[in-house]
Amino acid sequence: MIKNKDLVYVSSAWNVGTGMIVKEYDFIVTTIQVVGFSKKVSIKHPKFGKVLSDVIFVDYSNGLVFIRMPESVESSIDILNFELAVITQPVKLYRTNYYNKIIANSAEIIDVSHNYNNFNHLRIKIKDAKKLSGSIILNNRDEFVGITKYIENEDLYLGLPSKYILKSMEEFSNVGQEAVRCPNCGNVVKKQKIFDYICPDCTGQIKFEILNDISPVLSDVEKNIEKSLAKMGYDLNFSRLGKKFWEIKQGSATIFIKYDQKKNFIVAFSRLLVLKTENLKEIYKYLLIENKKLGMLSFSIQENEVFLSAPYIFDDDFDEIFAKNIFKDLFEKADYYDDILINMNS
Amino acid sequence: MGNNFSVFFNQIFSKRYLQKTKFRLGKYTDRNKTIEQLQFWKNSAISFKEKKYFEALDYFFKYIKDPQKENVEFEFKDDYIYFKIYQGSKHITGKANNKEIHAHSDVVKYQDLDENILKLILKVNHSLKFCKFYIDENQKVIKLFLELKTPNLNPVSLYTSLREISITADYYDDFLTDNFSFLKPINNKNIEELSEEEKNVKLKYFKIWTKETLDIIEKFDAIKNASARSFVILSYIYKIYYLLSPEGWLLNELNKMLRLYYSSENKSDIERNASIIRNLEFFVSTDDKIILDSFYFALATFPVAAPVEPNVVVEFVKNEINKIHWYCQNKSIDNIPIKIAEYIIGYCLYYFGMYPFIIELFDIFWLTLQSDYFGELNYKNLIYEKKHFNYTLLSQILNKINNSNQNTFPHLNFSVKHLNLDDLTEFAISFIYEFINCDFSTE
Repeated sequence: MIKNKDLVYVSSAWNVGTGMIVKEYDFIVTTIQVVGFSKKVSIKHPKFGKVLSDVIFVDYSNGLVFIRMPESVESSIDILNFELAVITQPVKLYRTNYYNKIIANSAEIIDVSHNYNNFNHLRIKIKDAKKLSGSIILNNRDEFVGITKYIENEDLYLGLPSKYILKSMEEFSNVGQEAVRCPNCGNVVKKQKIFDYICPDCTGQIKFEILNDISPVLSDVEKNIEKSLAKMGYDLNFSRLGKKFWEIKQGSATIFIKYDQKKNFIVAFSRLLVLKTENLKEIYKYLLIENKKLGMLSFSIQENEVFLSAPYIFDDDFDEIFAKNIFKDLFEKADYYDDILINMNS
Repeated sequence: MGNNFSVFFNQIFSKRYLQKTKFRLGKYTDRNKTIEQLQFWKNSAISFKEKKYFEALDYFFKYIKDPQKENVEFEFKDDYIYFKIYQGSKHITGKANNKEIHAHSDVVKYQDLDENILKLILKVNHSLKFCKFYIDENQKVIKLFLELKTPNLNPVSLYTSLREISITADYYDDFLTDNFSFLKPINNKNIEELSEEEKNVKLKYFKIWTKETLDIIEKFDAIKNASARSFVILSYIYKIYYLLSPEGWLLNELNKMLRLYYSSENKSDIERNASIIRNLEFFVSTDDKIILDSFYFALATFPVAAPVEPNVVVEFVKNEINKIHWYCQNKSIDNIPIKIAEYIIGYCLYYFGMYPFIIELFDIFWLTLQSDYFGELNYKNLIYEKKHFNYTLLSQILNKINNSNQNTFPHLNFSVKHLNLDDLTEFAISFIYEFINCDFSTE
């Protein structure tokens, strides 16, 4: 049975997804679909919160990635299960969300030897749920079958089999330092030993992007968002939640910025508070009176949460200076009001 | 954003057939802009790009101002443009300069506020994209407010945000005062009275259609024919909305019924029908004065329905038309095909901001099906009278619509030859099929 502490929420400039912590191993297992070509990603766990960590192993050919564990966590995922697992139908996919809550979905393995990049993958079919990478696949005996990787441009939902993951973990552990799997000879090689992108074992060429930190190509709007955040001193590696989503920590407040490219607008908001269940008149009244003073920003509620939001900004109207002004105002006010509201709500 | 611009520029300049005769059907649509207004829009976009923001604002307000009506007032004073926009029973005032634009509207007055109303308007704030509700404790008024930066507000964004505050103010003044007795109307006097004669005809047909609807519903089994009952109810709501064009109390009641119908996701058709039928029965016992007071004309600046291209309308109609087919084959359920046809046309007129020629086509549908009503409003050129179709007139009107829209829709040919004039039901069905078979391509 998967527990909260077994999974981390991984976010990079490329994507978001799940990472798995395995008993007695001091790294997190995820896929290249989650981390892209980032060498530093943020990970979020109930024990240590959100921190930046290094990508320490990349298997570019098959998409397997390991991330350094910032501190040890007692995991319930046991390596002994890895080789025993047989595939039963349906399987269960486990992932974690931004709030470190486990989400489970049923799925079917429709092919156990789907050839993708000359490697036999599991082919997964899932209904009514997002296809996400890094989710853990368990059989009906809760044995580990593999982890998922979603090839978005081909709409292909695959699983890396547990045996291969186990083999890679052992090989990497033997090397003991930052490493990559050479796409030519298949050996796990220390990064330190690679010079001029040449594999020390087979002398084959290792691609530039396997060894270097590369950001995805950004649209002008995304660039302006990132420029304004960087100028305000925020760490982009820490802020990125995939390509069009950013998270900012300002004091005790967390603010999200989202670019909806299909609808042509940018939204920025902060969830300030989960409201108690009764006697809310005074807090509601306070929010609506304060709204007058907030200029462009607005207080609102959804379900039982209080939000502070900027108005929708159309991408045509968006520039770096505007972004900086409106974001600064939102970040500061979110930090200012969250304490006041928490006191009122207690 | 490119698409939004094209929606604004691809206007058709023809006047609606029934509008020429001072008939006011449905709600305001702004797709009848004059060539001069469209030029103002273009100029506004050009000036904005050149960072001549005052000029851009001036052209913008000229664009939204109807040349025939006083729906928008604006003047330059002390380095600001001060403006006032009328929308239904509300108006929005504001000022703008090179840096900022502010707009606000007093929505309702209050003596006291309870937790429910506060929660409700905070929830509405969450769905608003540009403006927000706040409470002014000194004046005891719930207000809407908008503040945006002029250099980051191209004409489309300005239009979208001013439309949001205007429509929200107009909608929520009635909604809030009807649902919370301690809230009172404020500043809602922008109305033009209709003649007593017109109001009385509207009242008469409100009663006729309400009774007719309840009579038809009664014939159907509440469980076995639940969906048939739903179509009768929906066709009634959309018909009242479009043909009687009510404001205030009655409009709010219709909207409430639609919310009941569409948002009760966990309820079955049977339960939803039952709730709405109770509303209809309440209409029968409602005092005439309350209904008559809902018949007035209110100035408007922004359309409630968002603009859509013809293919969106055609797709919706195509999806719904299958329902007519099923009921046509099951003749045991009388009246239903015509009610479904009315529902389809009524739905489009309620939800879609359509090109004037499509509205004009749909007006012909209503003019034919409800000729008694138009006759009593002294409308002269009736297409259907004494159980007889005026083929020549119908053909002339359709030809005129086809011809006057050839520049934009060169293949448009809504043909009278494809309409079945045996009776009203056949007409209604064939009308809808002819609509979906029309070629709305622009090249």
